[in-house]
Amino acid sequence: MRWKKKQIKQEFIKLYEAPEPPGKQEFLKQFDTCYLSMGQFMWQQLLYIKKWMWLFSAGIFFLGTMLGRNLDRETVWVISALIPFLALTFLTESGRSKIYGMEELEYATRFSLKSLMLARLGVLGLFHGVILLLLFLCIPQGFFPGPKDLMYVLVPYFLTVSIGFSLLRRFRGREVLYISLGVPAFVSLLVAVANQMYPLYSISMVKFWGLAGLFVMIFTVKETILFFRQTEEFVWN
Amino acid sequence: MDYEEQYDRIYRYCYYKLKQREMAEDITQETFLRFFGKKEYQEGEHPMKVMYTIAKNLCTDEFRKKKYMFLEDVKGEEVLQNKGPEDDIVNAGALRLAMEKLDDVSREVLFFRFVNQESFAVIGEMYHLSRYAVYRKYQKALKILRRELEK
Amino acid sequence: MELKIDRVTKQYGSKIAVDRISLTLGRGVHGLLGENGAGKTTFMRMICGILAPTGGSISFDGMEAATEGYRSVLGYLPQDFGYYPDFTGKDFLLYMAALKGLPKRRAGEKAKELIEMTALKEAAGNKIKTYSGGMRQRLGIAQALLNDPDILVLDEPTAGLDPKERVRFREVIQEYGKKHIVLLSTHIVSDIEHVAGNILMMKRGQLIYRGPWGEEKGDLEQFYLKQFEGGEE
Repeated sequence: MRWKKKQIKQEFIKLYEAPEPPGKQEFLKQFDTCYLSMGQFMWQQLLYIKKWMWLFSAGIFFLGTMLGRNLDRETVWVISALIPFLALTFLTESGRSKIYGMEELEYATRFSLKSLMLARLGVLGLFHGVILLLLFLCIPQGFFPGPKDLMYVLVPYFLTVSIGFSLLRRFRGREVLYISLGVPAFVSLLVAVANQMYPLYSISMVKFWGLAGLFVMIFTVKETILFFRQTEEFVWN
Repeated sequence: MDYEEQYDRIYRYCYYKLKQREMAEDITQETFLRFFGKKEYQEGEHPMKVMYTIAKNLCTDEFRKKKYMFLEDVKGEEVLQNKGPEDDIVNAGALRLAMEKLDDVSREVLFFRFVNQESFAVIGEMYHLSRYAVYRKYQKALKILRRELEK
Repeated sequence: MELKIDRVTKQYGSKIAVDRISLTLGRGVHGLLGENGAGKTTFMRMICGILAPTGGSISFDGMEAATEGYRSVLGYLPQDFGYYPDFTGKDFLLYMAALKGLPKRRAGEKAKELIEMTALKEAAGNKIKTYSGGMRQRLGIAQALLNDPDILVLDEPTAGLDPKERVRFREVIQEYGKKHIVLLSTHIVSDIEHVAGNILMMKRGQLIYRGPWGEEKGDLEQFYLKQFEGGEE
């Protein structure tokens, strides 16, 4: 009879099978680390980010790359109009605790709402950062990409996030869900309409995009700080 | 690796050595206490290697004290005590007989690999062999076993 | 084991929600009585470290409220709380356990223990949206106990519980209070009169009574209702 390695292994394991050690659980109790480390906590929190968020973000990315191939200077605004929907998942995640009335419970725990938010938004933000960068590379340009073109993706994203954060701070419950969905739609529409009225994406608009970029960045930083400050303390209206 | 997994591995190793549940568990617990008692143990070398070494020394001490039969001394006939279907008994017996053809180190290498799923690196550290030397020993042991079992 | 509350105040503009309350709470069950709007919830939120007082301080065994160490020994059941819709009872407990810093194995053990204690064993695998009000409340009590808190703060915990559940709840609290600090707020006197060793009464942000309530003092409920006779809520 030809013995396969798997069979040898199985017989071997059977032969050296040890009976259950009765004192294990009791003994190991004293070695239980009392607490989860911050790293372990952060990793666990990642797993709570819903799958659809990753898929939706990836979907936006693929849509963006496909559109990017067929665009020219006249139609590049389409990418800018798409970007706010990427920020939709970011806002939804930011507002999750509020939408479902979990903040009060989450505040009064060791890690608290702040760490939770930092963990999840940090990772989601990083993921989006990569997507934004890749989308930027898809935008049709001259010989090489310039900073103005980078603004086409960054400004709509951060405008959505900053307006979203600003409103999220002031509301609770179901309204937060509407904000998370409504603000991206609004910014997208804004881009589309503004482009009809002015040639925003023409080569002459460098100053505009520079200022817009600066303004949006400052606004975002301010709103992010205020948003996280709120995760430290329950503000009851 | 969490503590439960470490405990199981050390326990199975001690049981492999001593064939006695209570003593195997005592030594496992003693190993844990010694390992976590000294900070030096936890830094530097691979923890499993250190724990196995502590356990091995404790088993050796125990053996000297009470003259347990090590697995190496167990004869093939003992397999009759095995419960289970005919085939199992026959297979187990065949394996035991085949195992006698191996040297102690080879047997232990197979134990570490099959039962505890240790890496060749850790096994190598235990016997002061390189990973490749352990791998070669492992393959050679399998070859010998196959040859014996096909007889 | 002492919770020190020193001249704690909460002011919103011109409105004073909590007015210079000082207390020291030790082991046992402390019942906080007061009408809606008396400031009980604001007071409890400050004890939980989730609302910063405008004045005064709160500390437990040397740890200031709102620090990580303080929150680690705290268990809180708010008056209203939600849940993530896709969570089962067990998912919810494991989620909260992670936030409270319990390692995975301990979290599993504790969740199992508390599910049994709150008689939620059958429902633990079902989504919370299928739970009755009483079941949700019991789940809330279970999450508050996950980290074996030294300070257990329960805001209107018996809301939604049927009489049998209420009795069971009182037993659990009484037992827990033997070795821990339990602060429980309610506007239903019968919830606490036989369970709380210490009664605290709040009216318009102020503590109007503190101390044990013995039979010699008469009916607690009558005394309590008298406080609000003729006054605005």
